[in-house]
Amino acid sequence: MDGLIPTFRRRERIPPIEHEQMLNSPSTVMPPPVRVILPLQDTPEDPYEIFVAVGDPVKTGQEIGTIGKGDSALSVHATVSGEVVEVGEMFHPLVQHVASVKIESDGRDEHVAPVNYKDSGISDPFAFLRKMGVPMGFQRIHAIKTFFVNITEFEFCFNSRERLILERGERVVEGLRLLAAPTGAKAVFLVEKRQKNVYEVLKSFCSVTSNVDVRLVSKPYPDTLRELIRQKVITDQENGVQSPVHQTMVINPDLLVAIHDAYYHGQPFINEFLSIVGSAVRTPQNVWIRTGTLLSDVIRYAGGNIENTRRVTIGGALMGRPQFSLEVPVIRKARGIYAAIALTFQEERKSRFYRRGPCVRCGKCVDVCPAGLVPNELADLVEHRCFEEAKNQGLFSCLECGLCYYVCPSIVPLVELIKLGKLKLKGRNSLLVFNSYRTHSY
Amino acid sequence: MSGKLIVSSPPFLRNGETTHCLMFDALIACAPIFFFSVYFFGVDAFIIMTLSVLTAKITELVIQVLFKAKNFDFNNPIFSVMESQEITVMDGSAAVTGLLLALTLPPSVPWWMPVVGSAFAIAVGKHVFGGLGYNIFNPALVGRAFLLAAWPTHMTTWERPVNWFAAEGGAVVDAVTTATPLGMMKMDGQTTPLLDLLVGNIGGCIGETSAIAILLGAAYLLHKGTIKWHIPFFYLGTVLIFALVTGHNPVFHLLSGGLLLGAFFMATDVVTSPVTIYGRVIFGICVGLITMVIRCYGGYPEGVCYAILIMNGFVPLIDRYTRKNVAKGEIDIPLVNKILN
Repeated sequence: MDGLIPTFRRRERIPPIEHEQMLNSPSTVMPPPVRVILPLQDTPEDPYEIFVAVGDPVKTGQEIGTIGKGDSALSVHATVSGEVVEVGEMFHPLVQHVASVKIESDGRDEHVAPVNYKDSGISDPFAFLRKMGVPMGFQRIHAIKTFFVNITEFEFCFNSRERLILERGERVVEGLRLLAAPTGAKAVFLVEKRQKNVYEVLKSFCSVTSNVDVRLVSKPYPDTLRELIRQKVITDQENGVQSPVHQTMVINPDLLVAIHDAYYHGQPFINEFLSIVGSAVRTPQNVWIRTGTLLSDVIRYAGGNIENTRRVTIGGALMGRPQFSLEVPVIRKARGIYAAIALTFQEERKSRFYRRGPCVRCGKCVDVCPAGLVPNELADLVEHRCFEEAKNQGLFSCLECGLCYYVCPSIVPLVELIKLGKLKLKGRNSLLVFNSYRTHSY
Repeated sequence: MSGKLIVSSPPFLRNGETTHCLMFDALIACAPIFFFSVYFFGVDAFIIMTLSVLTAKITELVIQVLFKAKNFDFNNPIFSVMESQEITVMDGSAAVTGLLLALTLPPSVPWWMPVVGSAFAIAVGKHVFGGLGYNIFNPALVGRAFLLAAWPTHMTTWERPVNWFAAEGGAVVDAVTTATPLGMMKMDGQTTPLLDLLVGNIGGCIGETSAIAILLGAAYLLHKGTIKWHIPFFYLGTVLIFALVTGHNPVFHLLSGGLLLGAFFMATDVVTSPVTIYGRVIFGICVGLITMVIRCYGGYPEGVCYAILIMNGFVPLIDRYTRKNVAKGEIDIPLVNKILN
């Protein structure tokens, strides 16, 4: 009767509920770090330009290089003032090595003089945003008819978007207005039903702004929704299909704040708004940090013990990207990446109760799936190598949100099997499956 | 510098629930039924339940040792049983099957019937198909159907519950044969007081007589999320509506026989019920219809067991036709389409 142990232990909430309460306190601002690493590439193949050399003094907000070349170049700005100490290949949290610039801070944090849109003399607002380093899907932006602003928090304990709306709501709405104005698009805020206070705040803003709407949704939606739309657009264009989904884009509210700040105050995009959560962190909080801050500095700031930290992910506990080193920078939301940090720590339980068992068809994964799939059958098909059948059952509609694995009582690695099926169908044989969506590029 | 970091594929969190939880929740939910049945049927009920559970576990252990376990060390059997991955007898699923089977037996059956039935349920109902998670039919009901077909006389002899208050001078009278409320209704058109139906002071199987005990257990299961409300709700709702439409007493039909036990403990068996929500709805409605057809127009007074077994066979079909289909464009970008259209 040793199986009784998990029956009574399962309701321990992981992560603990206190963390959510801590996250509801006002956000903090992390002081400029000692050193930052600024990647100039999103993938090792990307072209890039660099404007500084080793030994150069830089100021906060100074343009040090671009991701990409020519018209599609996206500027990278120094996020601390100081001296360039190293230029070359360094660790990147999503890909192994990319060209980066390392800056050592002098502690003075001198800013360059801000230049807003009116004074800049650039006629195209999107070119100005690119110059300010605001990462967006600029190729598609002229065709967009509907912007979705995802305020729902999918990952456990994250609530940076909620805090952002409560603290800087007017900037979010104004940024959305700026973004939608050139194309005449409308915008929809997606708010979860339990986020009552956010709904009230947004409602009051929307009553004075036209073309902006707030929708209550019952379930939170994962950030891979954006990638799913992108994927669908690409496949539909190959097949020559047109659908209204092509004219939609999902953006995050922190990007809207960045657009507002760049347009009116001439501030380049050098600040990230992140939730820092997890058991390795003593004080979970929402914090503004400089882009390029090393993960170890962030953990220390949040009261974490570096020695005890065993699992660090960029992103949340359900969908994040695991990190093998703490000496990697917090990447800027390069072209729309969701770069919150969750520092979760949970040793895999090695007890015999937590071994994988056969699927008992309890249907819990079906109940929680946000895409309405049947994950247990998909995983079963992939395991028996019926990839085409799995594709017909919606393998590529999977958002890889991880909820099915979270609830599975048989501990079937559903998400890994589904990702494996996707990779097999794409003709790759890799077993190293992290996230088959290229979340870091548009 | 920090220690080594763990790199693995996301997600990194689990809610800590395992298959054991489902099984032991079912056992805990059976506790009120256990106490009520021991109260009403005395030591007989206790012996039947104990024998059934023990036989189920021993049968599973023997089958797994003989056919499943690799490198079983007969010199050190206890350690092997505790540590082997193939031997899952301690996970509680066999105990649940044995207990549920015992709950569907009359209290007056001879001692060997739970033993035979439970061994048959585990061996043929479960392990022939491949063990936990692969069986098509609810093993407990397979065992009951087998016993009913093989020894119908034993399985339809009912014993009146011990009436503790009427027993004079502590002298417990010998077991008195009676009929189930459904049997009385079918044969003689005789009704039973609702209070007796509710408390369980009626003839019937060990676990099916007391509605209060079953509802207590069901409340626990629903609270813990072990069973979903769909199947019981639509099952009982169908029975209610069918009874109303055809002019039977709906409350009598809801409380009598094995309906509540079947709706909350048998039909909701996770392995043999559909996974999709619409599938559960269809399953519940169909089981309700078949139950009432057997009860009102069939030869048997009770139809829950066969109704559930029949619909168990249709579960793969139901699942296939209720899941969303990519070819029909039903799976798309979930939320966005809803807002755009």
